[in-house]
Amino acid sequence: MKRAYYPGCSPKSTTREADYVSRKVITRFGVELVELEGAACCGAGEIRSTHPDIFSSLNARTLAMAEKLGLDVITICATCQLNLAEVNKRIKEDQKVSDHVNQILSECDMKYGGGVEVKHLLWFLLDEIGPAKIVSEISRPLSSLRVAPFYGCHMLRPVELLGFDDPDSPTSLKRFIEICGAEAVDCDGKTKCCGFHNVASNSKLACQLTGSYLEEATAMQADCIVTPCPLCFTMFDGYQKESGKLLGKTFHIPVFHIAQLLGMAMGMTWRDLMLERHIISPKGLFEKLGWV
Amino acid sequence: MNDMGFMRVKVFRFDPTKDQNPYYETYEIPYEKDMRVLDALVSIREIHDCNLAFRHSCRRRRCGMCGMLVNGKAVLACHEAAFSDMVVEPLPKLPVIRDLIVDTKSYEQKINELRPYLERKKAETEPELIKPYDMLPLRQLQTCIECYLCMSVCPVLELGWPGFAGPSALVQMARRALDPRDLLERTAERTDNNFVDCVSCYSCVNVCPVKINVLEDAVEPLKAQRQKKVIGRWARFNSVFVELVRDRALVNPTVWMLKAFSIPVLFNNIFVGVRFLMKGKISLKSKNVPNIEDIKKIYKATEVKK
Repeated sequence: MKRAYYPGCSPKSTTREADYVSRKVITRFGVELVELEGAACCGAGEIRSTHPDIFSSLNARTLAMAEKLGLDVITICATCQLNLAEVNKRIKEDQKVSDHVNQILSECDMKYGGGVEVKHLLWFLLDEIGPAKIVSEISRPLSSLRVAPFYGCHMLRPVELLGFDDPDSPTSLKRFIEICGAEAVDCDGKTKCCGFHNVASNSKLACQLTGSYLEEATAMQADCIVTPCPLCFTMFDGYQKESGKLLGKTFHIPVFHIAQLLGMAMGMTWRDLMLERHIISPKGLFEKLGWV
Repeated sequence: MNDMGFMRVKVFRFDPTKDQNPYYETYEIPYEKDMRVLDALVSIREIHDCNLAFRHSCRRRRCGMCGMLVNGKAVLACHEAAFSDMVVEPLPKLPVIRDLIVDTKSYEQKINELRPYLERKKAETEPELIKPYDMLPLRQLQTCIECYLCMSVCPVLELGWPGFAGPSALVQMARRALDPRDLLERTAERTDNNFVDCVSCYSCVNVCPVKINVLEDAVEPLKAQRQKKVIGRWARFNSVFVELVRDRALVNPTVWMLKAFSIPVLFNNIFVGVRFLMKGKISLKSKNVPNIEDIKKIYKATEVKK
């Protein structure tokens, strides 16, 4: 099985571990990833708000690169998933949009015909690899681990565009945690916002939102948090101390990318999981599990 | 629903003039096919308690009066299908007047502060020519029924964030700011807090009964207006971000923040920066991306089109 791979900006800088471990994990299922070298940023919340033509064209260019290879795309970031899926849908459903974007793409001799599907790694694992095959690769079930899932807004909403999960009562991450052998802790805040997209312009607001979930996960005695989005990861791991400070609390709850959680269950080592890059060290957790 | 065709409904009850605390009452009512939540409440009032208070009027998603929570989800009672063992509660974050009726004054105040009417220099002359194309961006916004479901799920309003207008108010603001007949500099005269603090979570879009894409049809065009004049901190971040993608294809957050943050803001973030640096998470180096010229050509092509 072969797929085009679009990691996006964050896994190429602050969360390089998400890129590295996702590749390692997926190879174990016989999937060959072809990275879309030269693909640009998906536009995040910035370009999509203020430069709609650039937003559509950059994402269409990424899709065109995959189409040229004849491959569907795998993403590992919720916001990249949303933006690519949105442009893809518009181009497929509206000939005028397609003509307009392709006219811009013609400046760099590219064309996108709408022949590509975009899927987040979590959905790909559950849908196309399937629970049975995942379980067959698990050598170290995370049986005593209580994991709090955090979906990330752009994995769930708007449902008309994404549509993998029920945005009010999603189950995909819970299923994924259980496949890894761990217990999913059902926090009400799992579908809420981490505030990442405002962390540059208003870090207090972002930390307050992050802190709310950290508070809930801690109160529910979760051992760790898992998220399919590297941006949410950055908030929970990188801004955990700031969030605690703001709420007058001290949090210490390790956070994992989905590939890292699966990698742990597959028996990957601390080094292979690149856990030394985490601000909140999961060392105590490894000790609890008897892995150190 | 039981074998006798009856369903159970648990309803939030509270009369601040009599009750010390809110409580829940469970009622059994006959179930009818395609019954809506509002039908169930009417049935409870007719069969069990004529004092049960809730607002409603049109029964067809037009008046926006019957917003409430059903099993924790913000819905219009006239539209939502009823089901057995549902829990019906008032919209959250607002004072309860009685039972399912809430006081929406604080939301109305937020809308009024944004002057939800067209401002012109002089009275219009008849007949006024309005080009249909000019009104396209407003078409969906004009369908807002002010039910406030969006306000009830907004995480920024939930925090009580100072100054933030909230989704419903921003829909009303965008209706005027995007209207070519309006002469106010609406986005320029507001602060970043008023609308830029929207966290782009789509919670409001998820509950809107008339399918307004609050983020894409209201908040993002408002942000774009503000960015054009580079007013406020967010606009500066945005400009640097757009330039970085043009020059490097991918955004290196370290470079972004160094270029966009003012010295005091950089200083405030110094501890986060040091932590990230020690873990090898930040670097001034950006990887060279192949075919970067393509991106520059795209930028150029969109400029020409504008």
